[in-house]
Amino acid sequence: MISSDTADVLPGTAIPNALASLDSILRTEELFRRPRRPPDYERETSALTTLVKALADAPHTILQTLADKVLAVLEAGSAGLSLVTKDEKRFYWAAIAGAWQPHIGSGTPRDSGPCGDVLDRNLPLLFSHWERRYPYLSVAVPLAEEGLLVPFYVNGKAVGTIWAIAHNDRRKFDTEDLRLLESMSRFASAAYQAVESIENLKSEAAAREQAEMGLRELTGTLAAQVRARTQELRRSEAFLAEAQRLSRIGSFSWSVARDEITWSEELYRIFEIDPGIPLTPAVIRSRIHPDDAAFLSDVISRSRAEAIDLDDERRLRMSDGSVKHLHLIARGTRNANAAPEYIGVVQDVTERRASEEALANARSELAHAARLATVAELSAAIAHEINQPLAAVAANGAACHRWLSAVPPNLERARVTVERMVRDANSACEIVNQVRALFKHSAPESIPLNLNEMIEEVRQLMLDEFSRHVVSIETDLEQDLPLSLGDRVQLQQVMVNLIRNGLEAMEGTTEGPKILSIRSKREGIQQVRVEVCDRGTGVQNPDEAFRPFFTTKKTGMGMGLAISRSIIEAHQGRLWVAQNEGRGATFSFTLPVLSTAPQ
Amino acid sequence: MISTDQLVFIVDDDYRIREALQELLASAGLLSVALGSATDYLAYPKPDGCACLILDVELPDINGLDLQRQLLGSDHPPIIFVSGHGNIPSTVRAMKAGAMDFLTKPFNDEELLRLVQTALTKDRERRIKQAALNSLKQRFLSLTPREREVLPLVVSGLLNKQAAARLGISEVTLQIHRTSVMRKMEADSLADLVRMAGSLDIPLSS
Repeated sequence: MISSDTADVLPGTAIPNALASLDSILRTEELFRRPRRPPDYERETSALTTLVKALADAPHTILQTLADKVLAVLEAGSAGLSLVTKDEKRFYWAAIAGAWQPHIGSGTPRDSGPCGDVLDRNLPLLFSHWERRYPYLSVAVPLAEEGLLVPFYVNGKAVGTIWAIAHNDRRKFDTEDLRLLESMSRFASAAYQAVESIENLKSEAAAREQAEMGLRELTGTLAAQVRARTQELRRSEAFLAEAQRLSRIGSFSWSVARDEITWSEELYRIFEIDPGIPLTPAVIRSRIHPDDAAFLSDVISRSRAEAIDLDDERRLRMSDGSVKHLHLIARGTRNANAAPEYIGVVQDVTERRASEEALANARSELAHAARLATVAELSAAIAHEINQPLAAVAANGAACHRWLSAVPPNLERARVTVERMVRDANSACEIVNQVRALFKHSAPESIPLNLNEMIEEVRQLMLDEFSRHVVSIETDLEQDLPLSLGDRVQLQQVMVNLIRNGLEAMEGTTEGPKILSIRSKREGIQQVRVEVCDRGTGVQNPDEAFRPFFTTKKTGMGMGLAISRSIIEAHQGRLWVAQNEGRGATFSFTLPVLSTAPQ
Repeated sequence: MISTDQLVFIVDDDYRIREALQELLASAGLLSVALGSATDYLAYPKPDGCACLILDVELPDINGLDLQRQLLGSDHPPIIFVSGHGNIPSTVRAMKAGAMDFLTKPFNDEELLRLVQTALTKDRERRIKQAALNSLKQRFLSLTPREREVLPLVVSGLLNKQAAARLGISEVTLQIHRTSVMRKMEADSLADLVRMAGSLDIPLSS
């Protein structure tokens, strides 16, 4: 079918009330009574020859050529072809010659117009002043005095009409015109089919062209992408090389089957091998530290047999005798033939190793110095603390001796001095015991511990003390706290010390409620943290607080916090105190969790 | 039994030491006042009598040596230092600054009491000397301006005639001033006056 959208019917005019009947505008019967002019075969043949030639040479314009020939052969005012549209609702004026040529592309309704009448009756019809019945045609000027229409068919189906119009009464169509028009209508059928196939071809060609264009575009895009990717790849290769150089990481691949080894530039640099030298086992082996050579050949023979993964640290020995530490990671896979293939990286960790060692040395020196300092400080502090009561005992003893030697002896005073001697001697013993306890902590027992359970036990133990101090206790313990490794009794002692410290700090406070909060939580992945927070007087000098025999209290030895710190440090943890933002202080300690705790 | 005209101050932060020292001093018939800090000692009203101070080096507020430095130059009793652990630098410092002695705890009672007695005696002597000097100063202040001009010339060994010439006065007038000076200064002889001038640090005229 001809696929062409029709414009609307000619712009409409008001339809008069009384329309002429179809019969009143038809002159077909009269046509057959009119005298017939002699046929001009020569002219007809020439027209048909032109048409056939045109069909061959310019098939896409054949309909217009046909209209032109009809106009010429019939000596009409206008001539043209109307085609039924795809939806069969309209006629489309596909080609017009003569006075009506400007109306090409217009059309008429299928059910209300001369063309429709022709198809309905399936006969050629001659009309006279059809605008009397179809008023919309009155705008198609010049008006048609007569219009002769012949239907034409494709495969037995009427697909349109071919027509000729006389615009004045000097020209009257006769049966010779009808014969010519019918003859041309048969040609119209052929032309129609040709045009249709051309249209199909055209749309196919257009589709193909579109597809080709799409393909070209796609190819263009792909080419651009490939260019961009190539650039990216070059850039990332450059980045990789730079990154390898900076991080001293070289990479390699090794195909066992092809015995093909590829090294990155940096790997050559690490091995201090000229990139031009072929990578033979001997070349590589020349760099391997003699102590690691056996390992290497073992690994190589295993790697040939099966795809294994490697993660190891090994050494190189350079030609100048210096040693390099390498960290090697390789991933083994199997190719399609099940032969092992390797991709791996090698990092030069020599500097890291050296700085780690230096750091470890510095740490142990520091720890040693700190231990010595602590020991010196502790012994001075202990000596002083024991000396005090002993000096008092000695002075009291001397005084007692004098009271007893007096004449008469002053027994009353002597008794007082003896009582004091007993008291001070006991206090010296107490200090000795505490010191002994302090040094006992050097080797704590290590068992897996749930700190939350331990806190709960201590809380239970100290309920009496809480009520005596009129302090309420709040606990906020993190669920599923990881286990720690430690000495239960010692850590309990730390908790008791910290809690008691908090209780005593709040002794004198009158402001606000007395609350002691205990919290436990994870600190990163390797530590747990316990906090004991009071609302007491706070800590003026956080560093002093942990010094042995430091105390701000009337009673107490000032050993609690020093002992607690030494316990926590023996557990690889840390104990410290910080002033709260509001009132009071928070004592916190951390302990390593079980997985990372020293065994 | 217990003498009340002399007093021993004890400054130590350990109540046991304070108690024991007081007891020891009491058993030797000595009256004592025990204080827990340097601040307490400075605030304590000192009675007018001879005294000595047993001072702990390690005090909670002011270090004993610092207290000694503060007292230096003022009219203060002799200091006996006691220390839990005598270290040499602090001992040297204390002795240089005029400490009577430096005892380490625990101390020998005999030695301590002997030192306390010595200190009290020393303080008594110091006080007597101080009292004499005070009286001398009072007498000097009672001189007229002209007499104060005459005194240095006389004690410098100048003849009356020379001294009179220096001051531009007659010999007779100088003699009157000289007699008045001797009387007011309660000097028995010229030698006595010369000694007094020495005590008063009056410079000689050449």
